[in-house]
Amino acid sequence: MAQPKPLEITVNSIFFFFCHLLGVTREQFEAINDSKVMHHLVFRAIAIVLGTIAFGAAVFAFASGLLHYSLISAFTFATVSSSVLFLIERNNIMETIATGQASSKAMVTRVGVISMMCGAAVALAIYAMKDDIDARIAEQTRQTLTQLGSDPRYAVPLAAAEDTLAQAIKNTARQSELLAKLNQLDAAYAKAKESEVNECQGNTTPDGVKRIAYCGSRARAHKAEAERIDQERVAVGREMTALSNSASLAASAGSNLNALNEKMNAEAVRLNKGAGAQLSALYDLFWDNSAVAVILGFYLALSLLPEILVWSALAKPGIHEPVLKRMHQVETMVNNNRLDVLAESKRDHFTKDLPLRHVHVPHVVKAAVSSPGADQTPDGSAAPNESAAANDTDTSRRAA
Amino acid sequence: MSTACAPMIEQLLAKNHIELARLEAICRSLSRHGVPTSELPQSNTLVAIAMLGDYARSQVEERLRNHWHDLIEKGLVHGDLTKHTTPHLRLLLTVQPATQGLAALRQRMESGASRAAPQEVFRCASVVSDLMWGQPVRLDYQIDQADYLLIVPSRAFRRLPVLIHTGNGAGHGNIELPGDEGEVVFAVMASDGQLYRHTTVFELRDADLLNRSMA
Repeated sequence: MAQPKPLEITVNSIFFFFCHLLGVTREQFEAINDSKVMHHLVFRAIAIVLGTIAFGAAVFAFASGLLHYSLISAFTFATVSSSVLFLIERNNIMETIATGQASSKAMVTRVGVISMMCGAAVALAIYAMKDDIDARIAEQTRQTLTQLGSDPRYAVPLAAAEDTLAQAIKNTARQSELLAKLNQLDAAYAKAKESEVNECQGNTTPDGVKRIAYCGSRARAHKAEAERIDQERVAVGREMTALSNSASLAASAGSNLNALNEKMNAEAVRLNKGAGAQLSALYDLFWDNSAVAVILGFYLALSLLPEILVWSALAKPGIHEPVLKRMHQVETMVNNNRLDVLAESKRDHFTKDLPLRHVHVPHVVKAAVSSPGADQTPDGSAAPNESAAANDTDTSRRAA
Repeated sequence: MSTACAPMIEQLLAKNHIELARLEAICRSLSRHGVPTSELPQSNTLVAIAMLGDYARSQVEERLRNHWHDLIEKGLVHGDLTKHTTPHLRLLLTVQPATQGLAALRQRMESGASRAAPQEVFRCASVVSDLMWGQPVRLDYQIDQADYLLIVPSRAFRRLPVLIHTGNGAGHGNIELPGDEGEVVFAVMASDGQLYRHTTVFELRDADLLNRSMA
């Protein structure tokens, strides 16, 4: 036995799949029998499928690229919104097929979808020019930072922190100077004390001169010098003690300044973050660079391509009246058939429990034969006689 | 003959026997669709068709392909030509000439039979009343001096119309229908070419009528 060609079955199944998307039943599909109508239906179904997929992709791009959704959230968002759109489009297309022209509701839907597709085109353009937009946003962030520097909220504490830090740095430098001076004083004090001892004890000095052991004027001069140096040491020590917290003061002032700067940076970043900043940056780039206009135009055209397809499907004339009528007839027939099958099933359920009723051939009544017109029913049959005969011969009627 | 071949021969004979039974059933069905018994193959021809099996199937298909749509419209076959067995196709090819006028005949009988059938030609009950819904009914009829009888039950019975070639002889028969609210139209073509009509009305009891409407 010859096998059916698989290719034919596949193409037919694909056609039926697309027609079924538009609510065409198997029976209606088989009754269409018009290749032009079939191609119109398939074209419409493909148009709404592609339009829906493109819309889902656009929503995904918009949600993930511009609204910064996570990939899973963006995918869920896109799936749900495209499913809803598919149902709306399907309903609109079915109405268009039935009435022959697109309804105002369908047109409003299309305008809404086209607006959203334009938004998605902008999102795609932003994604494509990410580096340029990031650079523009960084520049805007720097400008914002400068503006925040003169903001009273930050200017006063910033100036105070800077002054404190400058003072702390100055103190630290002074402390270093005092330390060096104290070392010098220590050395001078030790030398004066040594000279005093050498004079009083008659020691040989480093220059090789043997001193006379006598605490005279020279020894007293050395002693007075030592006392003066010591007093100077005490004064330097006091000043150093006063400056002893300069290091911690500098550290504190530095950390305060850092905190203020971080706060300003965070605010500047916050003010230049999100979809608004990206759109603003794209707007600036659009007026600064003509290449941006070309890229944006390309993405707009690309996003509107599926919309042109769906618009074309909506604008197509309805199915020819005879075919539509035949489809309705088939639908009615199928529905009636289903009801009949249900009724038959219920009727057959009773049949097995009921006795057979045998209706025999009625006897020939001579009078009726001789004057057939006398007691005939409107359709010409001798109904009363035959009916009576049938009742007479009914042998299996159940007593009711 | 080798004894080893015996099972194969028996298998072949059994297969042919089954095929022959199927062909006989198809012949009865064709007869109910108006194909004259005289035009149906004789039993030895049926045996030959059964024994030929799938021999030269492609040629049979090729010859029958042009008539296939016509046979479907007459209700003699349904589905794709390739899904039927070769003996079935060969039988249809044999009777195809006899089926050529059936569609026109049936249409003529459906539309042209308006006069009431005289009792000499056709007799059957006109009303079957007080029926229970679903109760099986066997309706007898008597036919005489007629060539063809077309029986058209209304849609409620969910039974297909039947065209019977009576062969210009006296005879009787019956049809079995489930009890329902409807009618059966008998269109009779008498031997002289006259068309007659008889209608049997089926009436349910009131209680069953209510049951039916609620179903």
